[in-house]
Amino acid sequence: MRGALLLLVWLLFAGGPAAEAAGAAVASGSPAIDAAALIRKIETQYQGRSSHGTISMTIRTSQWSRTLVMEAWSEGRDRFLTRILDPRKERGTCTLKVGNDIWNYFPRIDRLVKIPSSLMGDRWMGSHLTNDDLVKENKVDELYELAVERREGTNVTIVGVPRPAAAVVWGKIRYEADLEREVPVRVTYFDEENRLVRTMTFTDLQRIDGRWLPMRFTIRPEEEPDEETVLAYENLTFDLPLEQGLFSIQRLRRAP
Amino acid sequence: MLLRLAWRNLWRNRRRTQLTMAGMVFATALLIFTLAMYDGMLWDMIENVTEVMTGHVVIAREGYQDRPELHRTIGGSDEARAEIASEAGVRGVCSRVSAFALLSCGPERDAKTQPGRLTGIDPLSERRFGRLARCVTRGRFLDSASGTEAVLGIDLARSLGAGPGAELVVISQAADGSTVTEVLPVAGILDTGDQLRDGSLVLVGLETMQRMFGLEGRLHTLHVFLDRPLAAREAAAALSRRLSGRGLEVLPWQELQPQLAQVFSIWLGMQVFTMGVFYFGIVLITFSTMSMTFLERLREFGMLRAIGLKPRQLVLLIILEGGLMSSLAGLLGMGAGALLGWGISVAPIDLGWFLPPISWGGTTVIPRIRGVLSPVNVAMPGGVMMLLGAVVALFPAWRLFFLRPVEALREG
Amino acid sequence: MILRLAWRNLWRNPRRTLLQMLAVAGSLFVAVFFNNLAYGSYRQMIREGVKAGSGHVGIYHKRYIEERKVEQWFVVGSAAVALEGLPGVSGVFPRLLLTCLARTSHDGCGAAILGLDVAAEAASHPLLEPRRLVSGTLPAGARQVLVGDRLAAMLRLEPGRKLVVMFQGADGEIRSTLFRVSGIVHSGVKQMDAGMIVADRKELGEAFGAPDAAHELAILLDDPVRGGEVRAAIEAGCGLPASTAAFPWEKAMPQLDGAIRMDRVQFRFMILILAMIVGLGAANTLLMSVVERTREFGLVRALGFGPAAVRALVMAEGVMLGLLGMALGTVLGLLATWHASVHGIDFSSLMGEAELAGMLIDPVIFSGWDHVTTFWFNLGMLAVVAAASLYPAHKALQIGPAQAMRTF
Repeated sequence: MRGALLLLVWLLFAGGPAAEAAGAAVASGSPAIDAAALIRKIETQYQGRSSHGTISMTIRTSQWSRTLVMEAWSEGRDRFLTRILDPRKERGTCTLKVGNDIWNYFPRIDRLVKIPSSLMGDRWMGSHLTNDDLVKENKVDELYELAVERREGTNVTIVGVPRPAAAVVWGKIRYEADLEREVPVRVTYFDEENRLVRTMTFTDLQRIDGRWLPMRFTIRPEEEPDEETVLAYENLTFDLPLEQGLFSIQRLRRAP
Repeated sequence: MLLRLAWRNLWRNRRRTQLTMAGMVFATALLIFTLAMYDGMLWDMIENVTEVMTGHVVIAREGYQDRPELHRTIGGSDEARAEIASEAGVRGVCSRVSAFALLSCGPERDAKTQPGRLTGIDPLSERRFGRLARCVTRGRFLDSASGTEAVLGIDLARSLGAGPGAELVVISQAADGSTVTEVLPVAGILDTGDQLRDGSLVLVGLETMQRMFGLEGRLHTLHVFLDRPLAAREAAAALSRRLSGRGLEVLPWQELQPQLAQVFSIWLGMQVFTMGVFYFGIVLITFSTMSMTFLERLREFGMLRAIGLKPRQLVLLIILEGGLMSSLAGLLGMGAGALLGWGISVAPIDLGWFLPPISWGGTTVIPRIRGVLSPVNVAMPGGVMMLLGAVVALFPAWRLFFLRPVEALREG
Repeated sequence: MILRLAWRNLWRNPRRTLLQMLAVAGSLFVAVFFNNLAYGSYRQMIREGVKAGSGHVGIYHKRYIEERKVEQWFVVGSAAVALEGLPGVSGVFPRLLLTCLARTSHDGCGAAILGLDVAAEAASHPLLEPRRLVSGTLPAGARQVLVGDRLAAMLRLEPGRKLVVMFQGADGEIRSTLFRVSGIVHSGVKQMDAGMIVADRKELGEAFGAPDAAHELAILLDDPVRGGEVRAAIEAGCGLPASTAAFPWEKAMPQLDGAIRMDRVQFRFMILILAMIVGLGAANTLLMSVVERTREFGLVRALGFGPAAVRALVMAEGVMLGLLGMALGTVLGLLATWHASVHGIDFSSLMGEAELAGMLIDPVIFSGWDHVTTFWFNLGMLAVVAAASLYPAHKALQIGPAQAMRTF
């Protein structure tokens, strides 16, 4: 359950490094930290679950800042829906992800638009996440080869190198996790020259349903130090029954 | 006195003079016409690149041309425009605001969606100074800067399946980060000849654009139209000096379109080559006809010498005759050539049935015969012809210098 | 007899004759040499153009040339082998062209990705020429690609780096594929350098979801003239899908065709003008020589020459003069053509890197041998000279014998 939220965050916004399940190779000679097991444990709890909650996203760029408050639902790994609650001007705007497709609905003009491949690199709602980030499947076990790089007390650093044919732009990802609480702490993305390109940090741990969960998630691009996107979770519920047909384009029009 | 003699000599044998001159007049007129035609094509190319969209000088915030980001704006006050318009040689100024957007058209199920570039314009000044309005092929151009209509580039319209009356959905991001959504009825379709441009261009009213994107009172570019497009570099330098210190970049079209500058040098090269061939022909004709004219009148000249005309005077006479003939030919040729050139400048001949528009170095060559007369291109061939006679006459004159009256009289 | 008389008449005034001959020779030289040069340059342009473009004959979906839709692809299958077997065919090259989003960890931008058989086309395709390769090597399997230099600069790419390409697959779904840059290419055509990626067609097809897909099947011929035959053979049956058709390059690449035609029209116009000038000069000269020889003509008429003979005499003079000039001009023109066909003429100082009709033009031009047009030019000049002799011939008869003899 909490695994669900964790994975929601990781899978949707972090390119899914968390889910690297099975293929995790424990290279370090230290007492086996089974990276695979760690993540698999999280992942199995997520299989086929659903979630519902409120997200507030604050985006800061060099030109403007704004905050969006959205209602969000998810089901399994493939389906995801957000609806903007605030600001009023954009209330009712929805983003629906089903599989590899993203749809946007704009109530002001009553129009549904499917995002074409040429715009998958565009920023989602102006944030530092791209449309592509949203659809990135959590096939991380297929995408990355994982190895434990270091371990200090309860903190472990795992390095993921993309497999030869994986369609990811990164040269390397590195994420640090808290073993004891079984939560991610920070994920960093590098290009092929080993230069840091972006950093995601997970903070504000809270205990929900017997598990620790980071309720705040920050993305910072390295080249624009003044910019960042912060997602903060509120009012989370897991494993609730969701309306049949909630994740369909027809449903988007009928605002609850 | 010699002059009068020369003149009368010309007309004593009317037919001979006319014949000699005919070729010279024809060649001069033809050269002037051809130069007008070449210039016409050149102007078509310049205008196609500059006057349809860019204008001759573009003023924007420093760095905007390299990275056209929404926030890189310049002030849109009327004083600034008036200041620029008052600069010497400036015909007018057009203001524009631009942004990239997601465009969609048609019933949702099968809607075509693709990125495009929205440009907010003031239709009145565009009509006055530029040629954008003339490119409309279906429907009509925009009416007002605050209207909510859109005009689409022809290739974009085709990709989206949009036509006049259709509804264009526009989704983008405003200056404050919020989402912009609009539905704009399509008023018309335009074809600027540039496929790349026509594949992404959407024109809307300037004020509408400013409102949509939260850029009230701001602009991205000012497009300056000049009386003399070829003087763009100088005009840009002058404007740059006048507007210095405000973080603006003032660029002439030659810098915005360097490939076109190259097309030019090729075109001018071709023109020089053609002119070379023509002048070669002209000199040839003049030389051969005039030489013969003089050398056939040996008896006559012999007689003149016999009655006391000095060698030097004879030479001068020849030169005068040659000069007079070619001057007359030059004048007539200029008249005829200018007339023909003027004819195709007001009534260009369309060759579209035979040739398609052809892209060349970033511009488009339009298949038509159009003339542009310029004083240089009329005066020079005429002037050269006028001088040529005197020069060409030197050769026979030289020969006649050594003429011995007795020999001359014997010939015939 | 008339001919001998005409000949001697010509040389009675050598200077005049030579001058006129020079005029004719000069114009014919210009016409022949520059036409051959232009002919050579057209052939070069066509040769380069068809190698990069549609081939001499191009197979496309029936509406692809107007609409250029990505969905208008077809499966090549066994047709390639069948086509190669046709007489006169020197190469069959299938190509797949998709629009995509090209992304790296730093940036992303729209581009076009061209899938071709790198090994097969390395020897012929202009983009794959060694001198166009700025750095790295040609793609050699393992999802390697070439990238235009401007695009590479924008995305900060170098040989060895990876590129993730996203496009709409054959089934309509969005697909992402990893490619690796093997080399960077500079074509000189801005749009290509800023937006083109070259990949292997089979690999691109797999990523696309249709392994043997192509948008274009370019057929190169040994002899371009046989295009019609080949097209007929294709129509007769080659295993190509019914949705496709064979197009000659003139239809598949109308811009190139138009550019050549425009150039040719301009050139012919100029030659026409030149011919008119020369013709006029010839008429002029001849007329004057006739007018001044009225006494002589009168004498000749009095001696019994009929009007037809006199006319023939004058025309013979004109035509012989013309023939001499033509011979001289053509010979000089052919000599210059020979030199230019072997050594070529370098126009790079004038042109630099020039782009016309979407392709790069080679500034070194080699002359061709357009004998047909040379023949027509000669014939044309002969006609002009003959026409120019008509009026003087007519004039020679104007004056009656008695009157002529009275002139002094």
